[in-house]
Amino acid sequence: MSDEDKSLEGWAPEISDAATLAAVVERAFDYRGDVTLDLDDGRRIVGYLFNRDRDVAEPFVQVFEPGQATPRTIPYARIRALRFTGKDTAAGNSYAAWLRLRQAAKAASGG
Amino acid sequence: MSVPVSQMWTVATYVFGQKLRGRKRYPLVLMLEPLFRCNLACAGCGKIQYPAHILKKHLTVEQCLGAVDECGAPMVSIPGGEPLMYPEIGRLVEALVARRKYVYLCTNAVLLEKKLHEGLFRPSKYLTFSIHMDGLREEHDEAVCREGVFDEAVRGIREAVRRGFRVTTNTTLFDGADPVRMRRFFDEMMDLGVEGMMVSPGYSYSKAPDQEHFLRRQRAHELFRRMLESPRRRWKFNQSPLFLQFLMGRRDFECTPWGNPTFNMFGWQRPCYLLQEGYAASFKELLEATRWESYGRRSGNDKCRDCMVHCGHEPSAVDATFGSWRGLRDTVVATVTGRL
Repeated sequence: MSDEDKSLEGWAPEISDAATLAAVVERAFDYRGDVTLDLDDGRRIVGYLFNRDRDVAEPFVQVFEPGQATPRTIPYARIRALRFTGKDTAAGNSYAAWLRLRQAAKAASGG
Repeated sequence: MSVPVSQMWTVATYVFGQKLRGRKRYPLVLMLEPLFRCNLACAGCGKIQYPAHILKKHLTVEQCLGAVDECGAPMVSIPGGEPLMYPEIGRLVEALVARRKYVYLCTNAVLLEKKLHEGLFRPSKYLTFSIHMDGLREEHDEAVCREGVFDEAVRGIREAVRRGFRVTTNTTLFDGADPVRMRRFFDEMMDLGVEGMMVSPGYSYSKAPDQEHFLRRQRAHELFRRMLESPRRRWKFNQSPLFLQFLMGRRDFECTPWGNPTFNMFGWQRPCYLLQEGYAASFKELLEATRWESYGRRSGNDKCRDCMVHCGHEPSAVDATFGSWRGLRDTVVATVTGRL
């Protein structure tokens, strides 16, 4: 399976309960692209989810939005939807992919 | 070892001070990442794989100094990203030197010659350029995924040495490394006039895209034994000799991840430089609220099973040096005789 196949880019999981939300947040924490969060008050937040903490009284995620100097902290309880909308910057950048490119370039130049 | 006496004295008194205060966990080297942006895209590095708006961000000098003061470690390593791309690197280094912190500026050296010509830095016993060099020309250029970088780095090293700066190399070794060529590499680096060299096995952290080429523990021991067996007298390592013996499988250390805490724009990284399992808002929170028992080889954590990386184990080696007369004796013997 290639790196591209494994990417979560474009994934829009259905969040039915707190357990599902927690699992999706973990995937978002590992994701190397921006995500979109829909909140309970109708607001939509787009940014890079870089932190989360479930072991506190009010579990939260932290998101850096483009152009903002400080991150936004959002309680889990306010998240209604979380989608993997940004480009996955880790996809397709494997060492194997680089070796393939390098070999192709060498072959093209007759090296 | 090639570490200057003043630096050894600073570290020794600091560690003894921590032990006298009964501190079980204390930082030795702060890993300060002012930015993630880099001018290379190495296959083994997961640090640069972020959305563009994250790569454009960087810490302010004040945020950096706040972390340095909060942490209190006597040494500060500045990796990244590429620190020479940090627009305030000159001011940051100057402020750290003024605080008498021993600074290791970890750079790929692509920009080093240019920055030296611009007069951005002044030689100081507190400032060391730690140049990323993963082997001879062929191995290094392959590791950094760009041809010509080895030669650029060599030019940077020559210029820094010529201007009287402290210069070391730092080398990460991956599966397939050739011990014979690595011994040639050590000779070549010493020929350039570097003060010392640093080596560490790479680590297969989950966000690094190159999962196949990191070293497993037994293979790592074998590689380091073959590479460092009968070390030449002229080779100098800017590292604890006990850590090098650990790499060779001659002694065992448990990881002390709090020894090299990491601070970046996301906060204090849990639990270490390599694993990204979350961020604490303060150094105090990092120390007090991280479940340290879940990390290190003895914890049974799969992610830690094969890890032998310097950022977790070199502080353990330093702690061992000052933790017993035997540790101190072994360090002195290895340092004086050059035998590992």
